[in-house]
Amino acid sequence: MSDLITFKGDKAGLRIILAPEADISEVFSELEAELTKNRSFFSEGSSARVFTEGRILNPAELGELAQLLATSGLKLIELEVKPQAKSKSRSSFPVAVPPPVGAKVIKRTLRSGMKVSHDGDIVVLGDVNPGSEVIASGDIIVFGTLRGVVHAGATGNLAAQVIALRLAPTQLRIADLIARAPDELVGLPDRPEIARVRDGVVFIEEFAS
Amino acid sequence: MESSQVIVITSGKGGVGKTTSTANLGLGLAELGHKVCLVDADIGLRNLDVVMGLENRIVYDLVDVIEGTCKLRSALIKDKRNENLYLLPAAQTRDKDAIQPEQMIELNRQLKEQFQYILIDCPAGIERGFKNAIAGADAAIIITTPEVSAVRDADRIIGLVEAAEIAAPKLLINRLRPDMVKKGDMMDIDDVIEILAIDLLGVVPDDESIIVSTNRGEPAVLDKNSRAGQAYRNICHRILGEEVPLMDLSSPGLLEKLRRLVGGK
Repeated sequence: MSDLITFKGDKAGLRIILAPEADISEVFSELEAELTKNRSFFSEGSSARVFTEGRILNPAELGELAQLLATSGLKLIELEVKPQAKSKSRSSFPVAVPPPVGAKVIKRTLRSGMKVSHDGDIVVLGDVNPGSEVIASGDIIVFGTLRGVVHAGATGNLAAQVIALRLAPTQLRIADLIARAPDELVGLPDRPEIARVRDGVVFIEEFAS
Repeated sequence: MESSQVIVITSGKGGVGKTTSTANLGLGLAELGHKVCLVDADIGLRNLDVVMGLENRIVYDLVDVIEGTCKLRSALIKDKRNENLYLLPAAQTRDKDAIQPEQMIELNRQLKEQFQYILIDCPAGIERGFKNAIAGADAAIIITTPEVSAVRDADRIIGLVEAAEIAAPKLLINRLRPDMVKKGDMMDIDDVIEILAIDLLGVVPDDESIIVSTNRGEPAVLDKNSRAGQAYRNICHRILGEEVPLMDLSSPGLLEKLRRLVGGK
């Protein structure tokens, strides 16, 4: 690996750190070479966060960066401008390139054996029965009773959430966390609930908009 | 593991109790101290996980293992009651064509390294799913109920199992109702044996507690008061090669008394 680019991986996905001094076109061509070389290493749809140390990218450069990552199946979700060694200010902003994919709407009940996956949010207008599976890189919203297996934020997004009018899943996964139904029989909840991650644990609580 | 055995549990006809029997025999053998793995070969219509009460633990399944998506270890689910017992669940969102008989043979080979008994829950029918399930089996248990149609299908299955060169299939007659047999309204054990002409492994009486335990995910074999549970426990001993006489099904009252006298067996 060169000095121009550093790859780091953690729970939230891939981090790419761009060297501050070098010419941006050199950095990009180096990035392209590294991404191509390690193509098989990155899973399709993984999220990448890019850190530039003191360098501010202009919109054209930002677009080129997103494009480079996209050809390797990576999604740019955040760009953080780290301060130069001694400065104290620090700014971080999420980027909207490429634009988020729209929600997939399913206007039916999902029965046992059916599986729906989508890069983005999924909205089900109907029930999700036991034995069916819903997998989304974003949120999952069920206007009905959710009894099957759901996986929100499947590409590693811990901020993803699951909402259902009656939330009683066999198993509920957010990013790489797994929660399962209690073994003893419990009744259906009588009001909408939301599941999300707090402090590394899946929390389920009443949904209040 | 030395002397480990792959036993396929099959019937041809659906709804005669393959899955319930697999769950009960597996848990029964594990209770007797053997390392047991249950394999659900009914891809696309899986049930064994539900009957075992383990559905909410499934992350990977048999197809994931065969396709190399995960390691065998990651797909095995440890039973919540007995640490000798594991389940390899079927995939629900795939179908029988997702695997090949050769792949089942390889899977059984790997399972034999870790388990003494591998029980395969076979799907109904005689097509691809059946062929996958019997591939690599060392023994077979044929389940039938005392009904003409079930016995007819069992006969067909025995022929196919024998053609696949699986040694001496054993018969399990399920859901027998002694009161109906007495009145001549149901085939009795001898009628069934006469047609099928294979060794009888056991007879499980029709028992309402099975329906309750199946719905709850708690196999009846653990229930000391269940007559079906007792029958399954006896069958487990026979699988281990012990001689256990058939239960007297005719008079539950007397049987209860006897059981108390003998102390459980």
